[in-house]
Amino acid sequence: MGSFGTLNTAYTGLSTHARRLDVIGENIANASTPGYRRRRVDLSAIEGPNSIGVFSGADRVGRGVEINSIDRVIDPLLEQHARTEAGRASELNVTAAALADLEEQWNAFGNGGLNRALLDLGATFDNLVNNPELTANRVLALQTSETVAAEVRQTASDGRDIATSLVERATTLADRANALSTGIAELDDRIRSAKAAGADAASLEDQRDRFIDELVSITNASVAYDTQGAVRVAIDGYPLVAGNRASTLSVATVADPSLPAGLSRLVVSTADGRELRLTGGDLRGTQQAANVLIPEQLRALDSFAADLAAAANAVHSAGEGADGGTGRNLFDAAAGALGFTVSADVAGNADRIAVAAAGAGGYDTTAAEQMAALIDAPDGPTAGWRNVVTNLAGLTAGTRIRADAAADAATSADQQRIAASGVSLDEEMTELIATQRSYEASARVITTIDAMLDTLINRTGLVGR
Amino acid sequence: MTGRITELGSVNRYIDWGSSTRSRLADTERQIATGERHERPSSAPTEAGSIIDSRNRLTRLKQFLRNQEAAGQWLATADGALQSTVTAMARARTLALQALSDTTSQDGRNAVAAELRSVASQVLSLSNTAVDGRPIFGGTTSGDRAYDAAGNYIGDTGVVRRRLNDDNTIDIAIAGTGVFGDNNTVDPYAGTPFQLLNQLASDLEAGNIVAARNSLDGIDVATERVLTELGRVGATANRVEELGQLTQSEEVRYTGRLSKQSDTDLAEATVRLRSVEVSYQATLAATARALNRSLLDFLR
Repeated sequence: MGSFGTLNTAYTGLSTHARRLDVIGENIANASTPGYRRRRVDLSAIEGPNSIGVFSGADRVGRGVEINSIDRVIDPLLEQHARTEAGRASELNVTAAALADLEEQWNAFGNGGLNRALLDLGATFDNLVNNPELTANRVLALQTSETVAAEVRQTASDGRDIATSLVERATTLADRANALSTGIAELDDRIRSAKAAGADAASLEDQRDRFIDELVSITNASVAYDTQGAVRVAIDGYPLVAGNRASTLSVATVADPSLPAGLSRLVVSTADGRELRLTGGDLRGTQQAANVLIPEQLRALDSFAADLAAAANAVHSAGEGADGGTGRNLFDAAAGALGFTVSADVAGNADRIAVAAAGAGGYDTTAAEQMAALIDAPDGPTAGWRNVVTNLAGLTAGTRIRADAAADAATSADQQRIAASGVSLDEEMTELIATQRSYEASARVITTIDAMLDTLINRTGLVGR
Repeated sequence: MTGRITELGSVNRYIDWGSSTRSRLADTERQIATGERHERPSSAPTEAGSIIDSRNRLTRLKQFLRNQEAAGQWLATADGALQSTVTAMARARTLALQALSDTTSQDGRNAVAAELRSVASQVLSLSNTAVDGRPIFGGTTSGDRAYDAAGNYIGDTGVVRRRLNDDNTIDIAIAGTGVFGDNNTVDPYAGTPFQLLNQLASDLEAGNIVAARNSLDGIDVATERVLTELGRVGATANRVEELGQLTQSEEVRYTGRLSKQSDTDLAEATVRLRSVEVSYQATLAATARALNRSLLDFLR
């Protein structure tokens, strides 16, 4: 190989290492950019010419160095793992948050609420036992019954409001998912054309992966890359993104008689109306909370309300009001907890509150006594309500623990992914030094060749002069 | 591949550590500020039920104490009325003895008769003693008198119960017929004190001294009846008092129990606050130093 060939070899070194410096600079600049995957320059030696033939020479030295490709360092297994864990964590986080919301609303440790109203009801009937002659006590008993009914309704509507807000949340999530799908499809297109033109598509790919991460955390969609680097994102066989085209999700509510009154089922479906079965993610958490968990609690509330009405009515209808009437109910739970009211038998007329046993007359207080005893009986309404809230507390705590564990798993999976794909400044600095030295050495090769050529051109034949 | 320390990885990790320490700090601060160990039932799902039970129980115990107070007031009023009745009857007996003495003139007997009538009406009004407008000797009557002006019992024999605790509902009714008896049409001296005293007054005015002598036995029998009831009322009042004390000691017990279950242990929380603060500061300091450290610092 001739001297000029060596110059060229040194030149490939210079230009390659200059490019490497570029890449290192980019890595360092993006050391703390979320979603940035470090780039790595893949180098290889340029093979020397084939040395077959008489005049081909036999030196077999290579022709320098070249850049094969600049890769994004990515571990598909870790990427997949991190996404799955994130989808699971966000699902559980949403359900835990919905239950915590409900618990906050039902406020079992607070000073007000249904529990307080029930205790007050017991106390007013006790006061009626102490002073049946006071009309004020009967009026108070009626008012407290109204308060209990109002609290039961409030408790039910709190639950329903949370279910409604979950539907709104699902709609927002679906909108976001649709925006992300469109974004992914567009990026896919640009990545394809950039690659075809041989341009750098890495930052577009980073962006696309960030979108995919978010989309998966919302929907737990499955992600597959084809050999050309195009992506296919699908839920339950429905392609959200495929071949640079995005499809939309829609969220709707449908009436479902198996759910408690005032609730409807939250359905996620395809653009042409097929109902999708989600396997994880925010959206499924929302769906799970709205369709299963909150209704479960409201069912418990409904059955509590029915028990309360049945027990109170059994006592009340056996008693006699101040006006002598008997057989009247105190509560009406026909419309469930949401429509729980004071019975029309007594509403608006305190003289109809039963105090005496039927036929006893006068200031007999048998019925009031039984009512007061009923409220805090071991299987009475206060105990019933306590069971409802402690069940909710157990469920909330359990879900929170699972959500925390899933969040830990997601964090650790994300850490593993970052450990594989993130930028380490120490590494980059070492690379930087190595690259700088290589660049200097290549320059020195050129200087040396230059000196050799100087000797050859300017000093040849001048020996002894 | 794991084990590479990357910039973003370290930053995320420090943020994670910092925020978990910060949330422990916030929880400890909340416990100290509110005095409540548990923010909501799900913070202590296993204890939530018994905390709610304790709170409800305390509310009920307060109501039992109110019931006990009402019963106590009722019985104290009855006790006072019965004591006054006994005093009045003793006065009536003294008057009767004075009037029946052979040395007393008819004028003197007339004067005694007038006083006896006023004692009779005093006893009648005692028999209608009321608490909150309700005659205590009238059973469960909804009228405002136990005896009408003629001394006839117009109350009933219904029971007046008070719930003093879950297992003790006691009857505090004192039926007038037990205390004062009924009017007796055959022998007025065996009837109610009012009937008896009025009859005595009439006999004295009419000079029927022989008949009037029968009154002394009648007065004794009537007084005996009142005294018996007085004893019964006293016994009931004692029982009410005892049950009240039981309820009070139960209240003390439950207050202590609730406090153990749900109150912040201030000493412990303060120590923990200090230690969490220290670990929070340490985390921040470590973060500040570790994020500074890189090869960059050593290369020139």
